[in-house]
Amino acid sequence: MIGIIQKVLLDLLEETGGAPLVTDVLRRAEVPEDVTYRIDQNYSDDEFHRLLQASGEATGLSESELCVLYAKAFLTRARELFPRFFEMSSSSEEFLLRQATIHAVMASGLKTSEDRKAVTDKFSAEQVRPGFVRVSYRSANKLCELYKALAHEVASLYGEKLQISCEHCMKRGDAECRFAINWQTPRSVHSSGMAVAPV
Amino acid sequence: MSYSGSDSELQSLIASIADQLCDTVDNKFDMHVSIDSDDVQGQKLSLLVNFLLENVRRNMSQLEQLNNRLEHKVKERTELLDLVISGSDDGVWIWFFNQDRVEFSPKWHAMVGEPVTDESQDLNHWLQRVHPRDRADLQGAIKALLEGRENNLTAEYRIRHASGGYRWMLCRGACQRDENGEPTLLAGTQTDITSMRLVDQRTGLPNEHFLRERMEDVMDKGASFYLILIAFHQLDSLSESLDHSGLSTLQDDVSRRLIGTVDVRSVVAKISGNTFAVFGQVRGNDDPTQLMEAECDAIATSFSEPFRIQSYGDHVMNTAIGALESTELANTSAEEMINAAWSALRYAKKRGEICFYDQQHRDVSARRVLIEQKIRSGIRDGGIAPWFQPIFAGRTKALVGFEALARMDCPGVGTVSPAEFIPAAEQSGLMGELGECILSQSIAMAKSLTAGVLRGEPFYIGVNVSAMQLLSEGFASTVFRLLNEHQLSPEFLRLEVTESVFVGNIDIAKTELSKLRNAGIKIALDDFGTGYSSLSYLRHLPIDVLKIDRSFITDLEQQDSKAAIVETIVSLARLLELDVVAEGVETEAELTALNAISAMSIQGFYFSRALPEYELGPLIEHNLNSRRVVNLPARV
Repeated sequence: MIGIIQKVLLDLLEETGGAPLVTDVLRRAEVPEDVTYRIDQNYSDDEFHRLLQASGEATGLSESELCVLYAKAFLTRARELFPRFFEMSSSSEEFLLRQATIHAVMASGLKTSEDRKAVTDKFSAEQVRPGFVRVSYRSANKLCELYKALAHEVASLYGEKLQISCEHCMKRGDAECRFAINWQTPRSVHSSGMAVAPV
Repeated sequence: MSYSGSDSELQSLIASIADQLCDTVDNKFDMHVSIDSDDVQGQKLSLLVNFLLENVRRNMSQLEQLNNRLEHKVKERTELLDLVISGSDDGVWIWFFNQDRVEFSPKWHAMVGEPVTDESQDLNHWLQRVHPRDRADLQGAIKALLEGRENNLTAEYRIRHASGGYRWMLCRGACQRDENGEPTLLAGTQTDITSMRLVDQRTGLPNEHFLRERMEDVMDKGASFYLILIAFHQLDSLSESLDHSGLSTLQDDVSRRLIGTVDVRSVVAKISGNTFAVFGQVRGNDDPTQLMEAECDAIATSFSEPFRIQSYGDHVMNTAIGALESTELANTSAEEMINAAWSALRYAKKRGEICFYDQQHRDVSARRVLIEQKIRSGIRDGGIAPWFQPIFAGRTKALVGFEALARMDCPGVGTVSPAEFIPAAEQSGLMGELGECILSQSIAMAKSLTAGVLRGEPFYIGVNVSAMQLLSEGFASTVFRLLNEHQLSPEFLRLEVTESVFVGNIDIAKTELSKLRNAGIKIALDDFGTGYSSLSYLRHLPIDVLKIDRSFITDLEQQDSKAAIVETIVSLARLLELDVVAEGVETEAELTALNAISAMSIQGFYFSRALPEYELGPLIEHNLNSRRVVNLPARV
């Protein structure tokens, strides 16, 4: 898992509850308190999972509430770091199709040669027809709630709305999560490719 | 978002990434770039460099997979193609046009009996092996392909085998062109069709193609030879009654006996369903005529012995033998030699004996060719025209009609008898054209008479129709078209057919004749009494008139039996409500005898021979003036 993911969570905790909340969460998650997450390195999936769980315990937020907050923070940070990825896409549908590739290539790029052989891409997305995208997600972390929150947030950035239904879910024992994403309202097309919402 | 470190740290970071990227010089992209910096922008750069490297790796991996799939597919297709070529037993050739080199497959080399080599050759290696008579055709076919006049190459030719002989090949090919349409490569296959082309598939004997080639080879060497054709009449009739196995056995027995009878060096071939050939080359000082006659006698003697045929018992196969000795026809082609032998065989069939081609045959053949040419030109330019023989009522002597009889009078040959040009037209397939030519002129003549000297008088012109004409598609339509073109009413036309038209296909004949009859054209049955006519048979034919054959008329008054036959025919006609015409009446005595039997129409020299159009007028006027053409009854 790319370090930006953990880094955004710790930054969010710090903005929300200051250093004590961060320390509390790190302790609960049994992560060293002096940890520093780099965006160009890979970290254990399990570690992030523990951090997310610890954050919920420490803040009293439900998983979905936490995911919504995290999604906003993550996308804000992602747009600061990689604005070009957002400019390239003229709609949230285009972005989510591209996102699967960016995530897969970026995560794989940071793994060592040996690790890469053992890991398959977590995400894959296909456009069934315009306005209907099917996304497959395979991860032991089972962060499907987080994906859904991120997808809604992406749509919001482009001034659009989407609906996600889970055709399969690993939490229900399926081999993978499968999301059917529909855009019900006409999507905005931005010549710049930039979202209408402010960063 | 800017870089937060110092310039030297920035330089160090860039240098670190750049140094690591140097490893890609060997196409080594399986690497991970890392930097020792806490700066986020530096980490972002590192992240995206790894992102880029991963994309390169993924694309390379995809290309490799694609390449593997393509290689696999190529291998699979190559194996499949090899299998197809191997299964087809064909040789393969590829001509690299710009290098002027041709590559041949091992099978191609094997087909011409030469050792297999991987070395390419120039095109002459191929062309020089092709038989000189066929080389131009192959070159022409290649040229047509190169020039784009043909999309594919297809050529048949003989190619020299290393053992000395020639084998027949079928060559197929196609051309590959560059972006300017210029040929770059020609490729194709070569199939050995020797057996298919030169062997009679039923008996396994050489066929007429083989015979012709063998003759050409011998003629090229200037050597003498003889050719004997043997026709077994019964093979045709037996082929309809024997089953396949019985017929094959009989054909094998005939072949075996023929091979066992003739000189061991002679070639025995089968050239049609019931005709075999024996080809013998004359060697040294042998007398060709003596050899040929000895072979013919041996064959005739051998086949006078019966064959044992399944369910028929012992059966003697009647033979007709026509033979030709090559010195009889100097400076001619193999094709003409074979035609001459066929001519001799035709004579043999007529005479029932061995017939040798000689000067008389040559003259007859030459005359036949000339007559055929004249028929063609005569149909075009009026050299063939109908003459009209008048027909009278026997008792009143009133003119009732005419029979149109084809006459040929062409520059260079003069007047030609119908007995000569009608068979020639039949054999050369010109009867249809000839018949229509006579029919058209006769209808024109009838129209002319209705508007002229016979205005208001009932009469007809009878026109002979051959079986070939009647059974050809749309005969009735042709008659109606001609009547329409000349604006002639159908009652002025009478069509005369012989019983032979009902032998071939009675249903078609009856259908066509009924169409004509329903339109008001009367149908006459010509030469009646010479065929197999019977009362029950006649009842079902769509006819109106019986024309009694001249053989029953000649000397009628002297032969009671003939008179009895004519009386019977007349009774029969009366019973069936048919008119009667007596043909070939030449004497007053014959006329008197006929008139005593019954009223009927009379045709013959006693009244008039056939006349050209320009002589009809005076005869008709004389008849009218004699008031012999008066109120013709519907039936005479």
